[in-house]
Amino acid sequence: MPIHTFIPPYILDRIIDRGSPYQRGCAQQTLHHVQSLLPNPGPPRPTAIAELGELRTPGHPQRRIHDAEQQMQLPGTLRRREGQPASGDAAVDEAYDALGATYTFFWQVFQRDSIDDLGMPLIGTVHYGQGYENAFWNGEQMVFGDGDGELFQRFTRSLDVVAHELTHGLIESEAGLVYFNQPGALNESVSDVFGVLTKQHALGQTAAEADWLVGAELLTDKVNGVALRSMANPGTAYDDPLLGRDPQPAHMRDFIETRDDNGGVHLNSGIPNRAFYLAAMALGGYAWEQAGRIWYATICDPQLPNDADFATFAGVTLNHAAQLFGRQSPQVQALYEAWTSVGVALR
Amino acid sequence: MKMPALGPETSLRVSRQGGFVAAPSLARPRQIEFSDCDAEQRRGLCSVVERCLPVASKNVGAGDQRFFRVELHYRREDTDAELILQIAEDRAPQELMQLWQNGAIPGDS
Repeated sequence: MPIHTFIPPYILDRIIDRGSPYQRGCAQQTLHHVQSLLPNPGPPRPTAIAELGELRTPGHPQRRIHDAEQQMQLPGTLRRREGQPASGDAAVDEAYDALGATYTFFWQVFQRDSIDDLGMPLIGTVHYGQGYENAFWNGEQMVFGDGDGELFQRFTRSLDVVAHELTHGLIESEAGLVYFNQPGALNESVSDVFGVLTKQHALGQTAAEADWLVGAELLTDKVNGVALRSMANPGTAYDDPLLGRDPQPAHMRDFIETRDDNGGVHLNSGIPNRAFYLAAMALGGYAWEQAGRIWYATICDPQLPNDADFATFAGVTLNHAAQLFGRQSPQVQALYEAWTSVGVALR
Repeated sequence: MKMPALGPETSLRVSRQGGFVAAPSLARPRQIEFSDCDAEQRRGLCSVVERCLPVASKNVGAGDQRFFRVELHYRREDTDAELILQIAEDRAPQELMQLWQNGAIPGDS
């Protein structure tokens, strides 16, 4: 299988052949690491949800919201299950509502039945840890912290954040993009894309009406910023003495080469994020109807390699735009211009 | 994975990475030069790294899960060498968390 990473394998091989001992070691490690990540871990693990296996209700989610009670044990105490009334706990009810809105988005727009398209129950845990400033998908369920109260509020406040985490599960079920370098940045970007599309769908917003921000409801008033990420203008979401400055690049010329954060997966995602934004804005209307449809078809395409780089991914989006709307369609033209605008050279 | 022999020119860097936010300031990297430490402190630092060895993994961070990155830069046979460990947040030894958070070295009074 070909390996597509920011440093192509032939360059890594050359470094291993001719570099200094230190450079050789680094290059060898990178190559080994990429190769070790290539096997797809497969769809989400059903361990914690096996007991719910028989409950399949297409068109309706099966939600279970747990409370970790500031501990870090999962899944925690069950607080609200499908059909039960509001619990009165803001985080529990926000998670319940946001997972419901995300399910509705994928069902109504793509006829997708949950994370695995097989009705997988949506398990969420809130109040995870003490002042925990994160939200994540652990391969089985979604987990949300309350934030430290200084910089971050609870992570269930943003619908796009909840939808972002659920989308990580969907990606594991489909493309399985490895969480490293460019495929890792695509994994993050696609999660941002469907996060904001879920929010736009819930609010009934067109591309032009949307703010294209990720995590706008998380930051406290003390932070100088509007959100954690901006898909319209990556690198401009915040500039704060405590949080630092939004480091996302918006163009390939500013691509960040780093060994941190699995090769900058949360940084370089700004580039495909902006490509999606540009395509959606050029096409107008509801972003999920055209650009979103193309991205969804791409991520569900078995031909998309799990180590796809930006150019490979862009090429697959163009193929799907042509299949869905025609080779000479405005959609193909808009995508071509969007990817070119962010410096992704199409093969 | 085995612990290398570490001389006084060794430096240890610990940072917390990944997560949905992934803002640069949240990594709070802590770098410690062995040359600034006495023998007991160096033993304490080595014990933290040793505790990390069995829980380290290459595949960490997926789905916005946070992790610690431990980097040892040292000299081996007159050349620069490094050992990099990545430890999922939920598997991180308490000693590593305290070293990253407060600079606390085990056994250091």
